[in-house]
Amino acid sequence: MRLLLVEDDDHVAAALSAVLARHGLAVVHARNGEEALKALLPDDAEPFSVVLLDLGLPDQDGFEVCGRIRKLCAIPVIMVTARSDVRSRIHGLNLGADDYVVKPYDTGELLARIHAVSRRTVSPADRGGDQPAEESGADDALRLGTVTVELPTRQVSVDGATVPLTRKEFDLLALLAQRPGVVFRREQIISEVWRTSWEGTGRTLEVHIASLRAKLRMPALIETVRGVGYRLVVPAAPGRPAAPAS
Amino acid sequence: MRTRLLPLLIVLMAGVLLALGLPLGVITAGVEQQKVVVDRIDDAARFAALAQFVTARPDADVHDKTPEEDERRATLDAELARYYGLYGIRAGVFYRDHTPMAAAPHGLPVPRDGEGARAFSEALAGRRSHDPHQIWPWDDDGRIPVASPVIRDGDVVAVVVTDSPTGQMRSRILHGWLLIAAGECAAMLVAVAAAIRLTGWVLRPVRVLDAASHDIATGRMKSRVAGTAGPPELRRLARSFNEMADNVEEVLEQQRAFVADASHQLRNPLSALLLRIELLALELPEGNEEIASVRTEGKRLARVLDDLLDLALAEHTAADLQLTDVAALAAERVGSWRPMADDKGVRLSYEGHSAVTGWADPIALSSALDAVVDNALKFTPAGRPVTVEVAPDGDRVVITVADRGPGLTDDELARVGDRFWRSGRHQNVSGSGLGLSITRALLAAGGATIAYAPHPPHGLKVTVTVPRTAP
Repeated sequence: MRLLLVEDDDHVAAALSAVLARHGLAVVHARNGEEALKALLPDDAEPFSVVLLDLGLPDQDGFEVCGRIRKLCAIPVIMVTARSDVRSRIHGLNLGADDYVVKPYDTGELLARIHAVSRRTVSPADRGGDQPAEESGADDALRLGTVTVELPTRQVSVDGATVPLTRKEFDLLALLAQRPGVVFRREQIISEVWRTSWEGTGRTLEVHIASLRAKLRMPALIETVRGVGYRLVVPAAPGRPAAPAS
Repeated sequence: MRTRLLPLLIVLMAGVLLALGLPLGVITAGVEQQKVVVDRIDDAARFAALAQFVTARPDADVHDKTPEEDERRATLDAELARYYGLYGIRAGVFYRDHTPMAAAPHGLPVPRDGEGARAFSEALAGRRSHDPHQIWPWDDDGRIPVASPVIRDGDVVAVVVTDSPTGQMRSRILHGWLLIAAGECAAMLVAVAAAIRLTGWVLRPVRVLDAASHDIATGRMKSRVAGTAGPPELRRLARSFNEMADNVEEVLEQQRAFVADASHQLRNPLSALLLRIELLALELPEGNEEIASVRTEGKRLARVLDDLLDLALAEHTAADLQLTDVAALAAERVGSWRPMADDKGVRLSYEGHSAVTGWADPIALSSALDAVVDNALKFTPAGRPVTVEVAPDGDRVVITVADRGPGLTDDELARVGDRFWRSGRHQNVSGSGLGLSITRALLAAGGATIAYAPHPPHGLKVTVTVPRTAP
């Protein structure tokens, strides 16, 4: 998953890029509006999932950049800015921003918002990484190398053999499989799978991860990112190019 | 100012009209009387011409009389009788020795005194009557005596005296006066209308200035005065006012700009700092206490920054005052804080009326109540009550938030609500020390007040009062 960070303050940009990289997000940094618009032009690279847009840019106003991005493409835009007044928020959202976060922000909240807006606009290319064209009709099945996750029937198979999973184990795998390579924070997994807030459920998560690894017989499929959470690493399938951990 | 200008103008105009109207009335009366007198003099002259040749006395010797003289006397008598019959004017011709030659009615005496006697003696001296005294409409028995000499061969042989009633003349004068009064009334009405227009024109710039000042005082900084109408002094005042308003607006704008700049300049380094702390936390083993407290301090710094900005904004925001159901608003705030109170085991309850309206900005008032209730919940231990009460008191609505926490000492009561002040005994309770300052600023913008008092035996009672009527 790639992110475009538009931010003129290098210190903030460096710190934020580092934090986001630790969460498995590839960050491209643009220092001003022109660079940002140039980066958004379609090229060979994987398209951006989210734009983090600062409003105080040196060359033009962030609001203007947002309007121009909106004309260019439908990519989700989160305004990340020091302007906290209600009028700026309303103006930004009216101009087509998908969300508005005021600095200084909580890292967990920013990540949750990034995931929330990108979830609403999942493109087919994002579902299970780079998939060949023949599978584009079966959107409900996520293929991760040798592992196939069928969402409607809640079936998981490895190399064609069905693996029985409990309900929570399936939800957990399906969540991680939505964005291979992206680190899901522990609190995010807990709230999405267990539908509860973070407190006191940490052990349960670890138990389920361990049981998933054992049942799928692929310990390397789910990787632990220390201090953050877990991510799914797509194993290289025979005869097929491995999906890049975006 | 209008109530002073208007009577002044009206009194002046009334004076002018009175000064014109009184002489006009007097002249009217004089003219009417003059007409009557001239008329009588003509009549008297005619009778004198008739009497000129009747010189023999009625009781004189028969041989002295000529038949012509008798005939003339009879004619004179008949004329006088007809005159009296027709006009009701008494008339007589008298010899120098006051014996009558002819008179109608019969036995008319020679006037012995007053106006009539004066006229008679003047006529005896051969002069026409002078203008008699003016008769006014209220002189009920006023009469006009006119005398004329009868001259024969250069000698005054007799005097013609007429004595006219004045009823008709007086009523004509009165009529004339009524016309003048009606005219004056009409002129007065026109003058009053003109005075109202005039004061309106003079005072319009003052009213415009007043409206603009009120606008600026209540936060509509864009208000200006056009300043093209009215007297030059007021036009100059309008220009000065506009300059002052420009300056005030500029200063406020600079302050707002400073707040915005400061927030931007502080928020970026703070974000970078917090992100670096996150990165550091990822490197350290989970559950490291030091990094957790560093993170907490960073967040507290962010919170203080937010609160400071809120305070700066609250002090410069114009209150959007409207008629608000204060009781409903307080009950609603209590409702939204109840889950948190239940969590802590504090008994939060609302007491008092179900509908009390006040004049307040609902958003500012709810924020203020939030801060006060938050404060009460923070310091009240589990199992103790916090009550919110709303009651009308004269022209104010009083909201009381009473807790059973540790309360404050007298010294602390004097300082509570100061910026960044926190009781030395409660340094470990979270908060920036700005909550109640923001509350006070928010309330002051809407004309509301906040006061703190002990709640015996222990606890704090916060009283917020809101005006019931528009300021």
